[in-house]
Amino acid sequence: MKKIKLYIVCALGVAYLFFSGCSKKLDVAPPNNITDQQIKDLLASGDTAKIRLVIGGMANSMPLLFNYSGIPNMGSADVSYYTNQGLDVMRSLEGNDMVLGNQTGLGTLAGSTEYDLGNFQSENDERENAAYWYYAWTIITKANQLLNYLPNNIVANNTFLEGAKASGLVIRAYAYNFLMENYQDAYILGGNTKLGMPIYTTFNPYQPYLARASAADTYKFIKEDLDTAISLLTSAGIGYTISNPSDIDLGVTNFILARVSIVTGDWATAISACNNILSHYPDFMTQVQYGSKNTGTAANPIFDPTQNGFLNNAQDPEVILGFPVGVANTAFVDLMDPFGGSYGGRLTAYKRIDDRLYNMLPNTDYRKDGFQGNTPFGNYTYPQDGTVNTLPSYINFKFASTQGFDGVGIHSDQTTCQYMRSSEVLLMKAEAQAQSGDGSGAENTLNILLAARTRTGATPLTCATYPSMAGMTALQMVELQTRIEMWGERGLEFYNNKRWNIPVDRTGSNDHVNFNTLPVSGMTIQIPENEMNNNPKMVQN
Amino acid sequence: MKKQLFTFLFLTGIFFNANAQISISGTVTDANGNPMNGVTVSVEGTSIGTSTLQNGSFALSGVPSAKSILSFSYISYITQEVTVGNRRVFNIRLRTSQVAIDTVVVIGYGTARKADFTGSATTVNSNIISNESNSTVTRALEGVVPGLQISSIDGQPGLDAGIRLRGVSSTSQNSSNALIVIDGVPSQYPNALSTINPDDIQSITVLKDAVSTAIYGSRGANGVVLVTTKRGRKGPAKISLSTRVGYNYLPKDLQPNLIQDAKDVYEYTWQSIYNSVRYGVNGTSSTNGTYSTNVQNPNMSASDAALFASQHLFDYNGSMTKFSRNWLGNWMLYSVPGATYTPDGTGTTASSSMSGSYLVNTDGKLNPSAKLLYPSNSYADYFFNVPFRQEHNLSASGGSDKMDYFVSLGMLGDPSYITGSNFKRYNVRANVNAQLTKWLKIGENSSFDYRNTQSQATRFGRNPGAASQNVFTWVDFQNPLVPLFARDQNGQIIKNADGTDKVVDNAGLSYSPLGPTSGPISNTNLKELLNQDINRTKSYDMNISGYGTITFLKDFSFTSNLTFMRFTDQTTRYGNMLTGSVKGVGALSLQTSNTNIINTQQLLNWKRDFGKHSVSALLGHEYDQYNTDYLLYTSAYSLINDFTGSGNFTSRYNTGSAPFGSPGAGGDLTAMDSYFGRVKYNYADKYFLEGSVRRDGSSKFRYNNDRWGTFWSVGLGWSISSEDFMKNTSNWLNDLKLRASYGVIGNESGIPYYSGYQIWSYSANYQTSSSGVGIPASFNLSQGALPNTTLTWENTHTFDAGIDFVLWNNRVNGSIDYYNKNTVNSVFAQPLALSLGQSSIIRNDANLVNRGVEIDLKGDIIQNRNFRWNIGINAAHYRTILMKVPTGVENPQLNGKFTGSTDPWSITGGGSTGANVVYLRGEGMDYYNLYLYKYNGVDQATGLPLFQHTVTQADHDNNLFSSAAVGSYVNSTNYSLADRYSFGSALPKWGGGVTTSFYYKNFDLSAVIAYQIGGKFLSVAYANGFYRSGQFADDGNGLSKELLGNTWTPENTSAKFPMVFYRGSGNYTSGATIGSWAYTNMALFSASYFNLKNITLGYKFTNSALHKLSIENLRIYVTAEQPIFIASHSGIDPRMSLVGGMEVGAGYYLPMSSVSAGLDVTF
Repeated sequence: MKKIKLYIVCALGVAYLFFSGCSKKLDVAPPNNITDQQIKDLLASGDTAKIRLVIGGMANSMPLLFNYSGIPNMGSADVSYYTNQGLDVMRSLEGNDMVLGNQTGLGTLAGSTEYDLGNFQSENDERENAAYWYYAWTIITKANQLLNYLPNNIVANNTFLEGAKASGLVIRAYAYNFLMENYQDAYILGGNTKLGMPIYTTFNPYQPYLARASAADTYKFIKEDLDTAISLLTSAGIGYTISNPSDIDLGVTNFILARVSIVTGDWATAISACNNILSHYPDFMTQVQYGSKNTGTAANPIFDPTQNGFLNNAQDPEVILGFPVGVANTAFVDLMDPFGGSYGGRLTAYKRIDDRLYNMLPNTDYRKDGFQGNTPFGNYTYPQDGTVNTLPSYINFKFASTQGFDGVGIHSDQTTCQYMRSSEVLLMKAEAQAQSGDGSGAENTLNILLAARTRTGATPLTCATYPSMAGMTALQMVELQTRIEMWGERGLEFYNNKRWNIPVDRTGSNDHVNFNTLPVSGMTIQIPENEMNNNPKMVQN
Repeated sequence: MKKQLFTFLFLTGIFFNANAQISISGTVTDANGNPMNGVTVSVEGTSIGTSTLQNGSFALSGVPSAKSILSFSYISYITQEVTVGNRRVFNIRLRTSQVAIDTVVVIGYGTARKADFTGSATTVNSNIISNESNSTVTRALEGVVPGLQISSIDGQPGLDAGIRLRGVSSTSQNSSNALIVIDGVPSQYPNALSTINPDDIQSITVLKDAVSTAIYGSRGANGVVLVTTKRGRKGPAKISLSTRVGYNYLPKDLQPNLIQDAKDVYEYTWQSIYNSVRYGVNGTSSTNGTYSTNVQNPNMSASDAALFASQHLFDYNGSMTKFSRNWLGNWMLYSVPGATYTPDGTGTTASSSMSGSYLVNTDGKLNPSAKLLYPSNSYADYFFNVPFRQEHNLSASGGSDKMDYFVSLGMLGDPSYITGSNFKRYNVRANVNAQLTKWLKIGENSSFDYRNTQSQATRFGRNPGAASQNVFTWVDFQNPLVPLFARDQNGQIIKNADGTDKVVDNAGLSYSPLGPTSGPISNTNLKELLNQDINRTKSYDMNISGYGTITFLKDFSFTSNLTFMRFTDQTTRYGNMLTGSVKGVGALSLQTSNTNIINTQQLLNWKRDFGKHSVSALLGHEYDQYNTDYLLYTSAYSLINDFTGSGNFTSRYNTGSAPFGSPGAGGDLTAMDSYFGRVKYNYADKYFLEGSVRRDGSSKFRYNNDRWGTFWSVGLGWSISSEDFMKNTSNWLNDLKLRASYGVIGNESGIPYYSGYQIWSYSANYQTSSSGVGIPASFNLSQGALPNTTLTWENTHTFDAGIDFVLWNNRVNGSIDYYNKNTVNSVFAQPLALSLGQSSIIRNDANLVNRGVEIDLKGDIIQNRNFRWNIGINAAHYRTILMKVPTGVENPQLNGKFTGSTDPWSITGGGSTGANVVYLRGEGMDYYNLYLYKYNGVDQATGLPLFQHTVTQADHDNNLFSSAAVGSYVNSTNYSLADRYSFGSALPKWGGGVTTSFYYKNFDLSAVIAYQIGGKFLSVAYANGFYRSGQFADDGNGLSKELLGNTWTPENTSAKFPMVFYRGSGNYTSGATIGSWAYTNMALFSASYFNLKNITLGYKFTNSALHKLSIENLRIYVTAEQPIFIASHSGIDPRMSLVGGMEVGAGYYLPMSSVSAGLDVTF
């Protein structure tokens, strides 16, 4: 009897253990991540504040795409390709006006492939080429993710949602233009009859691949996005938020519209977009604010970034789009600052101005102070590790910094950053005027900038008195002033050379260390292997 | 009370016995009837024992009773146990354990008689495991188990290697790891096998085919490694002490053979300058972008170029008009009598030209009258050490009818040959089983260990590349002329004020007659950095398991167990304030990560014999929960150097240039619920049938409908030798069995944890106006990849056919297996063009086959009284073939094929990742088919490398290669035209090993060899470093010695390597690389290797005096771990990658070797 009892207990025990399955424990939601259901619940709550947090959170990411680090497939240590600032500097190295380092054959310097005009265009360049493609498509994806949530019927007349949608449209337009400026011939030099980009308006990796639209249709799409954004921003009451350079407002939108318009030869739209911006940005950096000044000695230089308009947005009345310390990426200063502990300084990948351009600057133009002249700067000890370098001639002070924003420490890469400023707008306007036949209008526009750049106490420079511009056409003047004013910024020289049909030819320079040449045809980049291999509809340039 | 006494005895390890009563005698012979000397004869449960004499005879008195059990044991023979009964004379014949067909093998959720077993499994016994001097038992498996490969990205002690069995069943290496099961419980901790003391392991069984692995269902497809720890055995207490001490070192022949002699550096530089000035284009040092040189029309005469090179050895820097310090960095290691130095250049890069007398004469040879002041390459001498290694184990085991126990303590100190890399481990284990009543048995198995793993303090894990904290960067890539310590004019070491040697941690610290010397590869005092910077993980591993087994209704038994495993890793990383990457700042990170595994199993076993029929069945349930969490604290800006207390650090949200990331927390949770069963049938020990089925539910799938998968297997066996018609073969054929199995096994490793969920990331832009405490100014929310609800289990259809045989009086046994593993719906990260918004989508649509053969032979070659020799040989061959290309990946431009990128094995940290093109794949092709640019030798007209190009219509349209047909191959010096080509499978043709033992009298000698034949290994270190002829010294690049005298010149036209140019145009004059991740086959080597893994020579004392001291066994030995490793090329270790090597970066950490002496004593 006892035995039977025992067996019954055992059998029950066995049965219990077997059938008390743990299948309910298999419902495991990600323990540390926000999931779609939680987001849906917030959106479905009807609570305006919560909806704002979700949509606003997505929209807040949009301006940061102008200031992006994390380009797919690029290692984070490789700042030249991991951040859009790195891409900009790499493009600057593919021109006439910037010199890399001061010795030949330094194949180990960051940017040497670009500076040597090496193999950066071919489809299988995973870094030198594909980083640009990945950056632009990352933007388009993020913008479409936001726009997926904001169809017109949802936006209706909600001003908050209008602003959010506009930010997605603007950044998407920017990215498509970025693709076109890199991956197709210049629109005004024959690119208009060629292929553009596949136009994706929704985020869905399961959708079929698209073929390339024509270049004309691509730009039609870009302009539609920008036009829609302008009307949404206007309706939402988001005008020119001068006090906040870190958002997408009418200034940013018109800036892109102006750029797209000069790229496509729509001079009238360019002029009106520029005028819209300039009416809100009447002031220019002063001589004191323009570039860093050595307040120490030659042997122990001090370049204070807080006093430099390029490194401290508070000192720059021109800034339309920029980001504060902490948010701002630091790759640009790492690559450009000759006194910094990173590539542009300690690691000797100095960014120097071509003496041919430097010599075009008259002494009365204070922008000349942004560069060392034709003598070496001398020895500098980098506090990071005690490296002593002899800084060569023609290094830039435009982006020089020897210290942190707080005045102490060795983190010289702590600065603000900027991506759009009104001087470029003025130059775009002047170009549009010159290109559309209004030479005197262009010169008048340039004169505004030249006056602002005249050394204190000197007679204001004008197109007529600027010595190196004697005999130039209005367009040539614009080109020269753009190269001077925008030196080192946003890779602009490369993109403009391509539009202006200016090949890279370093003959006659005294400080270039590499004299390879690059025809304008070499400035059109091939569609990267990643796209060619996976999208059966993609056609190579 | 009885129990307490027992516990007392158990703890003190002392046992008493009753008085003697019976005397016995006899002889012991081997299978051939030869008498055996030195066989241990003991009475179980007592300390009574003796050993046989030379004629095999023994006599023993004091045997307690007729119920006593006699045990006859001898190394590598099967121990025989006999009850005394009424016998007084015992003539015993011992069989070698090589012929162990009757032995019991551990299988999933139980054991099986090897004779019944219809699956394919290999058992590795404790002898092989404990012979080796490894910090992780994984390495002991290399070459011992046919079909098993191991791989590790580096030689850091204390970290597991990955285990691959019979190829990859999934399209990613990371989802193809074998399942590790320790004492019946799957351990998903990635470093599990390094937590175990190898001395605690009784056996390791590797399950390979469907019928053996299907019981593990969705985890079995990659094979299963079952580790069984030691148990106590019935008998007297046995106390074992083993101790082993020795040295670790890096064998010289393993290291890359680089240009490191000062003489070679100077002469090589001279040649590069000579070539550059004589043949460079447009006054540059090489091609000036023209893909051509002036070889046909030299810039100057040979004598002028030679004179120039001698004069400007130190200051030619690519220009013939502007001179400055060049890649030699003004390092002058010789004094040159009669030389005049004329300064040129400015500032820190000033240098001098030489005249009067030269360091390298115009014949390109070092001036014979130059006198060496101090030797080059001092870093390897200083930082490669021969550290002391030690290993001590103490265990006690024994048991009675009712209880058995095994308790062990272990200690291992296994420092690396480089400073700053070390491993220590302390283990304690207790396995206890008790038969409480007739029907209830309980037991526990618990272990705790502490591990201290110190790795190089780099930021970049186990593949740190050129990080300045990586010792190998300094040894292999630094200018070999740079000395560790600064030198004065006479070559003497300069002292600091405190009398210590002054380290060269910056430029200009040493004397040079030429100008300021360059600094080291990084302005770092490596000596201080290695002493102060920390990357240390203290691990605390707890594994506790308890079970109860009830036997009831005669044939049934039911076991329920519960296991809890917790692995806590506490990592401290520190960057010091005085030197290195955080100089002046100081940075700290503290990370605690936990892996928690809860596993419970309920197993119902039934077994019954009906005449010749024997049936057994198992029904089981298992629930397994795997949970990880981590907490990371990082901070920077310290006050006191070399103090890692958190109070020494200030910043929380801004770690400045500190390298350890942002503070954070996280973790993952997955769970699996499973039901399974197995039935075995055996008819007359001739016919065997076995089947199993398992149903798994996994939390990785979001919805209940998708969550469950069923996996099954069937196995058949036929013992032919047991048939009547085989009777007349029994004189030579002892056993012959055919077996076959088929099943469908699953794999979920490639499924993301929460595949059905869309994940959002939430972040903030911080305002700077709040003292950096991180108050958000605004918030960002972004959407992750779209959820993937279509994913399901991978199914691998596995067929295995095998034959087991025992021949010639049990002297030879072996097995041969053929298998075909067809994964029909492999998870494949289908690459997408990034324009679609994601880089890939995971789909179940690849079809991958692994098929191969395995041969395992063991034999007793010689068996006589004094001399025995046995040998085991195994070999395995397999191919991994992609059978079905996933939809949408076919690339029309590649004729329907597609490319694959690096596939690093990230178990415990792995190699480089990226979307780099490494493989060309397509239907019917080897999965790891390498796809590289092709170097086709030297262009005799220019001295430049020739790259192969396939002519296209576009070429013809552009008037290029018009004379060659479209599709034909041409060679060009224009690297931008280079195309990629297939170079075949990276997998070896054959791999395996040899084990052998000799016994001569009391001596034993054993060796384990592993080998690999065929396969390919692309060395990134060579392709992107050692073969980049135009980048050297100051450029942060070392060069292979093969380049010396073997670079092309018009006089040496048969050279293997192209002409060397001083800082030749980017990468493109070397022929080894043409850009980022764009390597040619120049550095593609055979992956063949020969590895003498272990050789051990021992001597066993059989002096009867030892018995008086109660010493049952005493053996001393010397052992060498990996004393010989021969690869197809110097400086490569193909075991760092199983897939072609592309993921192994430069500055790689080679594994170490060791030599030890040891002592084993058993009381």
